[in-house]
Amino acid sequence: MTNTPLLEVKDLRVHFPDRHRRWGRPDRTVRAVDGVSLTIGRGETLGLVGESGCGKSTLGRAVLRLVRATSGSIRFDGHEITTITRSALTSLRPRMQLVFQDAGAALNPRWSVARLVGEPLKIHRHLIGAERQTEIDRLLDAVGLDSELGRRVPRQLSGGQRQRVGIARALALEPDLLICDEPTSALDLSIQAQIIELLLQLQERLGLSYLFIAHDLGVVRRVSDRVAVMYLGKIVESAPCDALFDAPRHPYTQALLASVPVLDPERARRRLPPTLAGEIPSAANPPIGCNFCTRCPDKGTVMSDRGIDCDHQEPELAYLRDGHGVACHLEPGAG
Amino acid sequence: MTERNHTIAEPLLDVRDLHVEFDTRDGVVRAVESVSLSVAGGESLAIVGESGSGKSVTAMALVGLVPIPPARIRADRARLGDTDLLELDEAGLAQVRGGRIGFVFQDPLAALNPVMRIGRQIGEVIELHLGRSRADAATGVLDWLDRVGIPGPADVARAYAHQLSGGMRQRVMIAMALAGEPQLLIADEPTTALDVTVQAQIVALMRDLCDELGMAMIWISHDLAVVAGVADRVAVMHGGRIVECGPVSEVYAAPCDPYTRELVELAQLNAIVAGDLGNPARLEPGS
Repeated sequence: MTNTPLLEVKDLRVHFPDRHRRWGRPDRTVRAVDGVSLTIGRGETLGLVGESGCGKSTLGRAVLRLVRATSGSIRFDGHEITTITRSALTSLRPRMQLVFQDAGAALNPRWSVARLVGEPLKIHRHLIGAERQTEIDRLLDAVGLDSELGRRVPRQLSGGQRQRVGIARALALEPDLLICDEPTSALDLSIQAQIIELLLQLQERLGLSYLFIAHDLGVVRRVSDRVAVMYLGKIVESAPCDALFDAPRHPYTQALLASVPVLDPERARRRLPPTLAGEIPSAANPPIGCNFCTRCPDKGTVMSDRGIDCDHQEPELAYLRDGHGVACHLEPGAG
Repeated sequence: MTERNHTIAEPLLDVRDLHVEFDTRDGVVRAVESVSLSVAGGESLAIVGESGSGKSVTAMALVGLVPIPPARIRADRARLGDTDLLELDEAGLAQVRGGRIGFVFQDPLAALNPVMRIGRQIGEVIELHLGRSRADAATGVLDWLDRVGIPGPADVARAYAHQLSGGMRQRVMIAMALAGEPQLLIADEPTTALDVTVQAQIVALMRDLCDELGMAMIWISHDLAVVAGVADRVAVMHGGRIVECGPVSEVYAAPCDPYTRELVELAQLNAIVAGDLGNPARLEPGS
């Protein structure tokens, strides 16, 4: 049992159907997640990166079944999430929790911190009175908040403190998997560093697994064991963290990394202009072949070297040595 | 404040001892305290700092975009060329805004008029500030849309803001800011809401246009890495004060102020390029 990964997603699709479809007009179904496979081991962090609209948040929500999968399989500790009954899901839910980007919006503004953190304890663990209070204090302490703050309402907290409350709520039920959806994006650098350190400490202490969804590549590099890059509903590259950042193989990953601003002013000024032209196509009307073919700088090379037409042939995510997966016709074995 | 040696022959914008205070129910909030800065023609100054440090208020106060009351603004000097910004009335400031000073904001969807076609909004700037005819302005609009790298300018001119992507909207904002042919462009977090690949495009575009037009720029940002590639000088703000100011390469390489040093070290943690300003290894748990 311990050898099976905690989370195993296979060929997951989440499509949002076109509700205004008329005969003779093109189907505008949005393919938010379109054939994604990934695994997360116990105690492991998978970083999921991609630009807005690539489907990374939808993927996270599908794992928690906050949105229903269109097809494919999601296995959490051996349980099939896509077909699970409602009652079985309720008993599984405590084991996977979500940390939101905007803790201010995720917390009830009229509730005290103690009540917010105590709510899951009441519902799922049926704790009452002094027992619950002890547990609330323990959780606040675990996320580095003074138990005095328990009387305050979210408005009276700073952004970093609110995010800590959000994490305390998520931890209340002793989950195995934490899905962190842009947990530090709204925070200043100094607060961001504290929250990241907190997440890393909690992981070490509690053996948590993280699905860490973020667009900030610097943050992802700091927390992840492995990283998957999403583009237009598909994973284009997946690799151990250092391999992905030091030797990216997919043209999109390369362009993405080349776009991250560098801190060294001399280096920043010498940098070439961005290689990636144009914009991400609509998920309602993705390209026929490779999803990246409309913007790929290497399309010509693929045609001349390998004789493959990227516009019409879709590459498969092929794994090379060391668990480095790339979905590109440039890679031998893809296609 | 740590001010490094540099001389500006003839500053375009010269601000001395600027104070901005807000009267609130909980007392007086000193948002900006004793800020002095200057920007030479064609120069690019970055103001960096965390949220609430007063970087936006500094720029907005100069051009009358901070409502009085609740704000109180005083300064020893605030000059744009030979114009005293402190002495201008509302009509005079309105002439400066969008004319001699152009603006690019973080959220173009909020800054653009949702019920006015893009072309008309840019055209209005040209009519108002350059005194051109409506027909003249219309051709000017297409020219600017083309210069900011928008494919199919004629189509975009007829579109509304909500029909465009985030990157396109920001290009429209830039075109609108430049249409009044400003001497100074104030860009307040212009790329913060954008994806990283689009951000790279916008940064490159703004840098190139500034060089080409010989325009001065104040770039307000929380992200030290974004301004590394565009700014000549950087002013670091903390708690309403400028704690350090100097050429960007000197300040980043050897920060004098402890707060600046902390900011640079935090930014280094997030650097993904090996050896980027000597970034340390990955953060280990508990370190």
